[in-house]
Amino acid sequence: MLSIVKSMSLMGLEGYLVEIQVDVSSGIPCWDIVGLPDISVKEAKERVRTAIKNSGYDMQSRKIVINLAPADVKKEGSFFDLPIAIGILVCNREINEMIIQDTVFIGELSLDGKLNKVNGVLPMCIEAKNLGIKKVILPIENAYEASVVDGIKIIGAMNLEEVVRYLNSEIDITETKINLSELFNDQNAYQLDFSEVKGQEHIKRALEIAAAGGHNCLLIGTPGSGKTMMARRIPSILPDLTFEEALEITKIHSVAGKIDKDISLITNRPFRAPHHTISSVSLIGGGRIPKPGEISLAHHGVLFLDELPEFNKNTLEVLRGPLEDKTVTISRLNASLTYPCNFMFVASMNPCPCGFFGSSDKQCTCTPQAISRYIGKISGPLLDRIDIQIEVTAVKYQKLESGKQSESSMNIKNRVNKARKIQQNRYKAESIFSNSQLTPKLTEKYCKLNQECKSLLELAFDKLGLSARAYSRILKVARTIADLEEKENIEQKHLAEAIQYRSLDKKYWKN
Amino acid sequence: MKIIDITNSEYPKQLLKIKNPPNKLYVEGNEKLLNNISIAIVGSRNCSEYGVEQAKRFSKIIASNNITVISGLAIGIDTVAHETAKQYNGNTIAVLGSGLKKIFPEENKKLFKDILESNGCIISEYDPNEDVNMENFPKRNRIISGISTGVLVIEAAFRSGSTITAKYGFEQDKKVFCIPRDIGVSNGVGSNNLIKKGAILVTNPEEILNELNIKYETNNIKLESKEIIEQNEEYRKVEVEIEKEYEDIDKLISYTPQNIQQISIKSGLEISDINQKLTILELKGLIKSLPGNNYVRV
Repeated sequence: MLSIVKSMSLMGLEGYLVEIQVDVSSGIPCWDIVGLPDISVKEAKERVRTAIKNSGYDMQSRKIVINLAPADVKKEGSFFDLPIAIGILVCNREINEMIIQDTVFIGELSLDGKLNKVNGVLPMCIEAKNLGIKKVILPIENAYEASVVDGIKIIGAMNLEEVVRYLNSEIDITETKINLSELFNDQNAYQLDFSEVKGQEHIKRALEIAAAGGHNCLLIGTPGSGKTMMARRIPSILPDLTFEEALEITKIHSVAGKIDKDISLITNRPFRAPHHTISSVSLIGGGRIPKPGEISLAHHGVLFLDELPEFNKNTLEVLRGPLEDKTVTISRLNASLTYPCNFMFVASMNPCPCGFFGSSDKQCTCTPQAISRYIGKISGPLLDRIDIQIEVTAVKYQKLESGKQSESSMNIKNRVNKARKIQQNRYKAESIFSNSQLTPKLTEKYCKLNQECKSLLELAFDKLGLSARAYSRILKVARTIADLEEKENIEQKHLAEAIQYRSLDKKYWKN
Repeated sequence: MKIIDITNSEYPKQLLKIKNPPNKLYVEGNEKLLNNISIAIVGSRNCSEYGVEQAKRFSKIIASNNITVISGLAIGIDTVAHETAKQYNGNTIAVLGSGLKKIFPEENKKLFKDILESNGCIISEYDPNEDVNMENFPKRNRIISGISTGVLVIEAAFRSGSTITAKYGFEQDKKVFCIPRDIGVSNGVGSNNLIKKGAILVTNPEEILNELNIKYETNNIKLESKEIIEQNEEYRKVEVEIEKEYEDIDKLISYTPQNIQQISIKSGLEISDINQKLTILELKGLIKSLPGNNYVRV
């Protein structure tokens, strides 16, 4: 007898429907799975057989042929276990054929019949809903994640027996539902806050500007000066996530298998801080069948590279394209996939190999050549994509005690939100969203300078020895500062402040 | 390029007196300087802001009194000494530890050209194509001290090249001068040890001139420096009068480096305000930014 069970699979970030066609007939007992399965799918045979047996159903000795349609696309993963088992049980007349129409099954089986968590459930359910499927049955650990999709019934089951009894109407499993607005109210629970950082007002200011304009930034400072601590707090001042953005983030994390079982939607901006031994493949994504890398996991959030010069040079260079395009296309033999990667790039580094150049506590032991060589490890084109460079110095203990109360992230975020709104309104016609995305042509259009500003900038280039590539960076940052003050035009003071954020252009680095 | 043999009359007389004079010198530029009265100014490559200031101050007075400034074309104090001497139309000699065609360090190639253009002189005991070899650098220090009348050490770390030059200076019966440095600063250990060993502690460039019995016109120098101070003050007054709003920040910055956080706490101003005023003050040439967000008065 033949049965057809619906399931889903993944192509990059998108799900697609897979029909599991199971035929059980008399003949020499054997199993065959066709439809370009890879090893993990082929192994389903043993898991399914044992799970059915251990769930108390009769596994008859028959000839079983399984086809995964469409048969010309390679399939991998263990989420076909459940639909295959259901298909066999339908053929064995344990389940009524009619009841499984309009239902999608996703899940991996253990030998004892338990349903295990699988990756990528969210994009599958989104696609299922678009195809008009009414019901999805999946492992209970994936239920919360899938329940974000509105208009489709999500049933989370513990084990195979439960699924069969549910289908036969012997038991009832309540549909998993969540309240989206409640989720979003919860998102302010980001644990880290700028109010915990004492002093360092100039760094906070620089990061506020960076967040407001979406500028990439580089923190240069001595060990223990608080670079990492500050960077970790950047997500707390970034503008609130919209539902669409949250869904996109969750999709990527779902495919990568990075979602906890009690989380349905990622409502905080991600903060990814890979170690400097990371390979270029795990940074931008890849693998035989491409998986999203760190830059995609940081989509709509922050990618923080600590100790930038320690990263492999080739690894850093692969960032150049994605930083401009905001997407990354990975081509492999099996597939060519595009993942989004619109992140804010934050990096930190020491000013010199010993780390104490410019420190008042400890003498730097590096020669000027060693310092320029160290700075030179970061290629010019990469530095070109970083608008704000700022030096961080350690705060002494006594100073931590005194001084005024530090501002909370909430206050900073309000200002950032306002500045972002202004930018979005201004760039409506240009299909960009923030000052950091201004092209040279648009910079000319939106960052007009009056005579006073022009002469200041000329003086700055002359006196401070700024490099030519600093020009448009300064203009963009000045534009953001003006937006933070809700000013129509860039004024001299905005420009003067923007010049402060070009630390690496200062003369003392160029020995 | 010229080769001056030890038998040549142009060979520096001072150098004949030392224990192991080089057999021949390769000379580029004005060889007449070699027999002038001269002071060697040597110091740390990894010098501090203070070292740079003092090197400028001493080199300026020495060079403007027609005394040749000798150094080793290294980065740090050496570079400052050469440059300042040039700036005040003085004479300067660089003694290389490598061949004249193999300039080290790379970044001083321009300085090499500049010295020759300003009628200075560059010498080496090595064949022009002799490669850069670190072992040769301490050896050339005997020539630096050998051709000079006195040696001035500014900022020397413990067992550094500068202390070697000073050691040769003692051996060759030259006057060795030394600028003191704070206890506990690594750049001062060598200098302070030299003072213990009998180097002459100097705090004013005029003291060197006195010690070497060189007549100098007191008025001339004093007047000049006074003029400059006055000019500077006037300049500053004019600027400050124009920009009243920058006064509060300007006042806070002194000659010892101040961190931006200190400035922020002391002034009580918004950080955006401070950032912007610091840029303007720096552009006006009133203050200077140092590594690590430190600012110092110029």
